[in-house]
Amino acid sequence: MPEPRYAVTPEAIRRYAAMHDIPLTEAEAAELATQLAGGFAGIAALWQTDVGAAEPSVILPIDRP
Amino acid sequence: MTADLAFAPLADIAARIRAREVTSAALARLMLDRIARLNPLLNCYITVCAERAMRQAEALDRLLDAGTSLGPLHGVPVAVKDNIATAGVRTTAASRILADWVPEEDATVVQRLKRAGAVILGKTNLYEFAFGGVHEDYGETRNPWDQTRTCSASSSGPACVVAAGLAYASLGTDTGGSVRLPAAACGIVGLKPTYGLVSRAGVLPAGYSLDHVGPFARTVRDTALVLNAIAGPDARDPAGTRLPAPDATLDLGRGVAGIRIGVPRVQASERIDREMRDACRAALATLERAGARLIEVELPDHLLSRTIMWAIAATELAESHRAYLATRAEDYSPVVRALVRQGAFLSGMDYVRAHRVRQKIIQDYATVMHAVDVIAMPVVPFPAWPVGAAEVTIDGETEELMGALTRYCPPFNITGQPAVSVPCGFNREGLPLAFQIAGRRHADATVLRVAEAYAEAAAGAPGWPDLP
Repeated sequence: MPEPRYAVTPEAIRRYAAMHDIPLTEAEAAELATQLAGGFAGIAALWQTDVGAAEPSVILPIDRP
Repeated sequence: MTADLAFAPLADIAARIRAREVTSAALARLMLDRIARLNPLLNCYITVCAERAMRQAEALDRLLDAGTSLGPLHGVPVAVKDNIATAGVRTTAASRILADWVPEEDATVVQRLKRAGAVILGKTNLYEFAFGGVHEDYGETRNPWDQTRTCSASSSGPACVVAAGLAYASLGTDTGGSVRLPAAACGIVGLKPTYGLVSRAGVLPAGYSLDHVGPFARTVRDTALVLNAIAGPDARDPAGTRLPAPDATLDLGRGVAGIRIGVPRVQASERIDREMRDACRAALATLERAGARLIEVELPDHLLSRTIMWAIAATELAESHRAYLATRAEDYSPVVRALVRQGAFLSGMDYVRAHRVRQKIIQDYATVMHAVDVIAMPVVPFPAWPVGAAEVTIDGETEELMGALTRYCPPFNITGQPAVSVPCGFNREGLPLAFQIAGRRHADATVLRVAEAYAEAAAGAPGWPDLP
């Protein structure tokens, strides 16, 4: 499966923050974009992993023997 | 009252209280005097409940006078991490946002500690909201072995108070290693139990589906005794176990003859301090000499587990902090504000994907656990680091500290397996070294059995820090 490209720009961050009512200055948006670019580089690995037999419906009961 | 009494094992202290050789009030006074003397040095307690603790201890002494013992913790002074709610006592999570919050109700684990007869000395320091970094209003907890060093993250206070003889046991929380890492840094035992075995009701969440409450103590048996007091079903925690908790002390003393220990093959991304690596190898050799069988196993990529942990915990943290993020963002420390905000920008698809990969990791670990009884591996790549450090250099390679720190712990938050950090000596600078033992889900007793067998077989007692 092709992984998302995660085009994390300050402008995209600002728009998303406004949509969710998260106060953010321009400087904070720029800083967050840099931080998230690193984080999303790791997230991309999740999309390269074969999860064919791992369904989200069995997420929660991991404590059941 | 001597320092020896302050560092005696909880089990011995409880027995001496039952035998009326010492009173709970005298022990509470001993602890409170030591806290008054050492807390300015170590910064490990946020709130000390001196009057409450003395009243509680005196009431427990009267109960014993009347012939009633509440159980193995009767009269024993303990401490609780300050993200765990305590009725009538402020619960700050080491944050400015909750600096004045006084819960009306105890968390289930606090109720259970009290029901078992423990005396609550106070609330201990931690990383802000148990996530990412220290808030300047509270400051760093100092390591009892070297006060220029930290107690690691995030349950720094609970680990410090036990290592410094300022409580006989304590409770912490572990979302990505926050019980095991500070236990390792402080040279004590720290258990992350099976997911759901210990209720999180009344505990401020860091990441709902990764959070665990776990005990710190100076011996494995003491750890098991505290686990027995707090484990078991709780209707207030919907993700909690529905099964009665088995006796965690059941397998102690059985040794490791015939136990199969999985030893993970070294992964390409691994870098570990040489003395820490050698200590872990020596611990494995000790267990082998004691009769265990070492079997090489291949585990999923630790870095993948770390990514899953971050994606899930950051998203769940952002969801639970949304109101504060909108109205009080300036009250967070810069590090935690950044982490909470990052979680807000991960998509629903990323979050679900992280859970699907998590499920694959759970399946892969389950396959490994068919062939072995426990896994033994490092808990942390390096010993306690200097206060203020942001990077660490291992084998000549420098990397960001928090990333390197969370190399070995997150897999067991993801799978929900029990894992315990066990001290295994000191480096040349006198800093504690440690390794971890992880077992099958709901096999906490087996994990503790192996840990105790190691502690018994390892030469010499650990000793305790030289404090004023």
